[in-house]
Amino acid sequence: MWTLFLLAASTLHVFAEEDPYLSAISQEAKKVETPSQPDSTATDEPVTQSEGELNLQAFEEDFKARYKGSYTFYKKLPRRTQEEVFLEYRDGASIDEIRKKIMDRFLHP
Amino acid sequence: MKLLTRHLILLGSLLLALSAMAEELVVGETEVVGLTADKPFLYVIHEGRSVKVQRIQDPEYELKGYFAKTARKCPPFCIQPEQVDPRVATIGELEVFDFMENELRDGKGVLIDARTPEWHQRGTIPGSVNIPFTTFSDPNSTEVGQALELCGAVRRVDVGAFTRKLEELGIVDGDQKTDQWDFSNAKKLVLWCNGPACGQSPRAIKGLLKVGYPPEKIHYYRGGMQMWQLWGLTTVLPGE
Repeated sequence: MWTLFLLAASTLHVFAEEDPYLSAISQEAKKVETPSQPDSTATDEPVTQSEGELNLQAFEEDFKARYKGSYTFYKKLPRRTQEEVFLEYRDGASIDEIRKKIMDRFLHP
Repeated sequence: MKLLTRHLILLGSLLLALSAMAEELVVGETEVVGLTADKPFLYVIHEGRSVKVQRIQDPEYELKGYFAKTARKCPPFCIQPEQVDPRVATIGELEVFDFMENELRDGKGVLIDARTPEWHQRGTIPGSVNIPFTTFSDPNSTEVGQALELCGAVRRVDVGAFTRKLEELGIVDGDQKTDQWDFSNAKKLVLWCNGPACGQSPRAIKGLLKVGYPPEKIHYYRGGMQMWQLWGLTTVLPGE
């Protein structure tokens, strides 16, 4: 991904000199400042206890709301396994993978 | 005695009314500005870590800075049509949330920040990868190849003229194939740029269509960064 990004970035300078549209958007980009963030400083009441990082409680609430069936099996797993499932989800595992893991751990404890 | 009872009842009612008002105030103060009525926030994976997407909770917050501007020089920063192409769906924030929670999370979709890197570096929508629209200016370039592979397209090698003819005639499955690319397992794409007056993602979409990317797999988030910020939604700085 970074290769693609660097390739694009390096060729842009050449294009910018030739293409008026690229020159215009390049000039316009200089007017942009860092956007405001909806972080804990911008709110009196944070939505959750965590500050940006997904926590176990939020994961479980979301999972319960969206996948009731899988959540039922998830709740039957030992706490350590539940934490393992959560960590995999936090690190980017897809919902399909998470659901498979839950069933696998439920059927083969 | 009756008078005293009446006064006590009146005082009791007054106290009840005051406590109810106080409770309303407390509820009002803790109200969450959610993404939707039943979704206060969501999580998306950005650069390998989980990022919480939510709205700014301060009810007094007003958008300031570049994206609060209503006027930009036109041309080139003119209001874009609602549709880039009749075959490509234009979507709004709710569809982006849904996409983030499903296709993006499951690795079946790519959220594309189609702006040039200098824009991307100044803040992006969580979960986005930067594929500048300029990538698609030459359909045969290395960058287009890399971008298409990232989006799940598979490069076809030495497709015989006979096979191609059969595909074109519909005798063998060739619905989502070109001479050079097989888009059968291509991912769902959502492309965005700076907002309704930005032409960068429309150009990228046109480039994708030109190389044969199936239009039903392409989605245009026209609101882009301007609408995203107007709703006070989370943005991230790349690399942080």
